[in-house]
Amino acid sequence: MKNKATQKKIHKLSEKLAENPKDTEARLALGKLYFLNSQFDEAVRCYQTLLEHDPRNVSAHYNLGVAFLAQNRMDEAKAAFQKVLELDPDNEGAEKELAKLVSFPWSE
Amino acid sequence: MYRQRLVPPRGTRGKGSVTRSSQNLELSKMADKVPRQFVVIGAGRFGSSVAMTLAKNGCEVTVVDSDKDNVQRISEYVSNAVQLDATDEKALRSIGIEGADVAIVSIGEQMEASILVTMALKEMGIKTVVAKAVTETHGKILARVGADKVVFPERDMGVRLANALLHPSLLEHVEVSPGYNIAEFEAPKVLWGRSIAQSAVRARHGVQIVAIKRRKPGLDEEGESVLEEDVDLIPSAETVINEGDLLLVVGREENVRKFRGLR
Repeated sequence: MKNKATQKKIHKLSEKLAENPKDTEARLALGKLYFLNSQFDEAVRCYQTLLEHDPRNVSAHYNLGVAFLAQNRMDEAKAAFQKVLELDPDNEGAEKELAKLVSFPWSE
Repeated sequence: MYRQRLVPPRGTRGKGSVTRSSQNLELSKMADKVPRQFVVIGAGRFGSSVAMTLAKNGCEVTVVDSDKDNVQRISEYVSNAVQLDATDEKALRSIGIEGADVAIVSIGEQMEASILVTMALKEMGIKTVVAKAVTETHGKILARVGADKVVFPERDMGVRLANALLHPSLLEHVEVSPGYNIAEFEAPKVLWGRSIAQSAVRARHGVQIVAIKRRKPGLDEEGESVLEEDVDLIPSAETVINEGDLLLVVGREENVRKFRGLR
C-alpha cells in the first residue's frame, strides 16, 4: 500500500510542518496523503493536530470523519460529520455521510 | 458507497429462513429467465424504490399510480409512468401492460384495492405477480386470488433489524439451502495480513470466501477524502486479507458461525 512518490511528498510536507507547525494547509494536505496511503492512524492524528490549532476548520473535520469511517470507527465518524454540519449547515457531503451512518442496515 | 451489500435479497435467521430460502430459490429461477419488463402498481416509498432499482438495472418499467405528484416524481426515473386508478380494470388494460414479465402490486395499505388489482393482473395473463401485504391475513387472501409471491416488507424489516441488533458484526445472512449459509462480515483479526492460502481457509475452517469487499481511499473532485468500494469476486488463493475487509463466505451453518467468531 505504501507508494514511494507519496512517501516522498509526505516527507516534504513533514519538513515544512517542522518549520511551521501551524501551517493548516500543509497539515491538511499531509492528512490526505496519509489517507491515500491507507495510513489512517497517521491521517487521524494529523487532522486532530490541525484541529487543535484551528478547531473550526470544516475540511479537517470532514476528512477526519472519512478517516474514521475507513477504520470502522463509526461513532467518531458520526461526531465528526455532526461537527461539520454544526459549522457549515449546508455541507451536503457531511449530510450524506451522516444519513448513511444512521440508516439501517448499519455499516458497523 | 461503503454501505452497499453483496447479497440481495437479504435473508434472516431462525424459523422464517426456510421459507425465505425457498423464496430465494423461486426468485432465482425467475431471474434465470431474465425478466426485463416490469409493471409497478403504486408509487409510494416501497413501489418507487422497487421501480427505481429495476430501472437502474436497465429494465423497462411502467409505473401506475392514481396520484399525479407521485407519477410526476417517478417519471424521471422509469420508462413509463401513468396516472390512473389501477382498480379500474378497463383503464388498466388500456395501457397495454399484458406483455409484462412481472407485475409488482405495492399498494398494500389499501387492502381491498391491492386484492382487486392482483386479481385483474392475473386475469390479464401477467405471468408473475408479486404483491405487498401488510398483515398475514392480507397475504393469505393475495395468495388465494393468484399472487405468485407475497412480500411483507415491514415484517421482514423487523426481523432483519432484530437480528442486526442481536448480531452486530453480522452484516448479512442468507440460508441458501437447509444447513448452508452465505454470510457477510468483517474479516476476523487472525486472518489479517495473510493470504487465503496461508490461512488455509477452506481446509481449516470448511468455508469458502466467495468475495472480498474493501474500501479504497481516494479524493473526490473537490479534493476531499472519499472511500470507494472495490469488490474482489472469487478471490484467488494468493489474495491477502486486510484489516477492514468484508468477507462474503459460504459454507455449512456451523462452520460459517465458527469462522465468523474467530479472533
